[in-house]
Amino acid sequence: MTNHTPGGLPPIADPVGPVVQAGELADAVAEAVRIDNDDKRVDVRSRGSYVRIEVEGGECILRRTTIEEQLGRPFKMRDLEVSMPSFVGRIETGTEQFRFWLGQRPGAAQTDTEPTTQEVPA
Amino acid sequence: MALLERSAWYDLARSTEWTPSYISQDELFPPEMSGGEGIPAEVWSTYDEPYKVTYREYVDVQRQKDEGAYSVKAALERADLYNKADPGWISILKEHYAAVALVEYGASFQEARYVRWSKAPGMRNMATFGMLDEMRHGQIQLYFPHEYIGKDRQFDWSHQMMWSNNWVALGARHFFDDMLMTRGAAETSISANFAFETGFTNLQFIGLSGDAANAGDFTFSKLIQSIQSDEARHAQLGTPLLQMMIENGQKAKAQNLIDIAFWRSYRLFTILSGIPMDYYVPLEVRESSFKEFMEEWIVTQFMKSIEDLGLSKPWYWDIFLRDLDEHHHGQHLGTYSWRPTLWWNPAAGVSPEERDWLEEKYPGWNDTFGKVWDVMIDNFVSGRPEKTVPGTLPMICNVSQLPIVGTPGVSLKDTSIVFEGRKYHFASEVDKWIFEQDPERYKHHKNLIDRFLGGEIQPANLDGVLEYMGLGVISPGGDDAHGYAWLEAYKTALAPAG
Repeated sequence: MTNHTPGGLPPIADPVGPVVQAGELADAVAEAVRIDNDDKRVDVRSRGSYVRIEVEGGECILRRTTIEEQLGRPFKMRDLEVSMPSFVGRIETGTEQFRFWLGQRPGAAQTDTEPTTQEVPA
Repeated sequence: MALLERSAWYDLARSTEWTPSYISQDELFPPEMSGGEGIPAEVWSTYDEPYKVTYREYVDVQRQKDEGAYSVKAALERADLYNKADPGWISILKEHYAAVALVEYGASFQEARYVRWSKAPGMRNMATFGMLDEMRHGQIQLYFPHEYIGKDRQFDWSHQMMWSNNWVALGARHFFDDMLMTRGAAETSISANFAFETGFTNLQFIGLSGDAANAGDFTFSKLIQSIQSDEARHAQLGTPLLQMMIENGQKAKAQNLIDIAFWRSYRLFTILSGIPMDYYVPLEVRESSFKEFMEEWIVTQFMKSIEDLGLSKPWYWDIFLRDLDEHHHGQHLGTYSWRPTLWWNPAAGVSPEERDWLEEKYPGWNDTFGKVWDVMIDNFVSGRPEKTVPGTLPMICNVSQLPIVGTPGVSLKDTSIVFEGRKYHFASEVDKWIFEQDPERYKHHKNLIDRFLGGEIQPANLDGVLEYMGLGVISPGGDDAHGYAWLEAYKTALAPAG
């Protein structure tokens, strides 16, 4: 796998973000993610027919207006779905922004104390 | 006309919910259909789907998706892909459409069951779109291969396979019946939406799309990513259910469902994605190996989703990681050897250059699986092709329904138990564990060998088995995709000196 990251950096911690079909929209979304999350490391990995756009730290914000600025034309958030076959993390889909996030942030206390009673074959 | 923001009215509009007064809750939502037993009644209405969409939005977006996929197909129909693409690629199309099209249509029933039986109003609403998604996937994946039927009868399996008794069909039906069709709505959503769709379908529908584009099949590349964009949405149905189960003391049950679905899905995808990615895709256009795609989509991305919910890796994680180097190689040896039982023409994928690639991606391949291929190649080159096709049937797993394979001399073994006087064979400890989770569920099913030995297949010989499986009936069976041209390099190398 092309697991090496841009600049030979180690893989980012707790990546989240969209996977977008390669093309104009993927480029615009990648740039918008950089702008909307400018305090965090963003990795954009081209995987041939799709692009992985990943933000470190378990949260990625993607705003409609930022995509519009990058595309230079009107854009509806729902149209991202047409070109988004997958995403990393959980999702919140609004009309003005999408948010990708992780529930269990690094260092966050485990809230569930129920022991797992999974039976393992001897 | 000014429209309200979706968030201003969505929560009110999605919840078609009332308290029944003429019948009981259990009559409205029978436990065997709805599942989710033990979750308090008031919890269901808190189900909050993360991926929200309205009907107006849905129709608009789906129209765009269809327009994209159908227009690429229309534009490229005259490109004559069938005659210009590598035959190994054409085999991938045959395998894919047959294994997938009707299964997707079946999944519309799975989603329809949520629409009626799910106790969570938000889930019933979202599942309506999921149901329409799966109808689209069934129809579009029947329509796209239809242009090839006039050129090649093996494409007829796109429509026929799931009604046949081909061994792959037995495996696929057993899997999808177990995961999609025969559990309560809540449990099905965890098996099918969370484990199968959030996890494994990415492998075939996104991973393979890169190889498709590289191979010049932009129609297929566009099609499968378009399908997966639906899956990415409705796959989210399972996540809130998992949260609800965990918060209501059912973490062990959730983990158990995922552990079963994960392994079963993985084994199915060794046949659907594993063999094509590492052996059929022309070497020069391979984006990644099967193992690399598994590491990207499953070991990294999907595992993060599981752990983010507070759940754990399946208990058999070490077995799984080892298996990534083995199982699909064994299945490729098996399927290529028993090629008359396939509806596609398998590519051998073991030319000297391809073996170098395999050795690089799977260190040790030449010393294990390669040795078996050496024998096969020697038989071909020495004019003994009949010795390359077994005259008997392989042992078949009573859970996966796939042949029992392993690394020659290392991990090839039969794992069996006797239950209520009947002997069951398993391809691994994990398959056996799955059986033991619910023997009542699995005990009646007969695999191909059980049927053969029980006299259900007549005449009881290889010809009878082939006919039973639809070979020579629906279409001719498989033969080497490249007409054995890849053997030329070995004929030269193995020719006597002088």
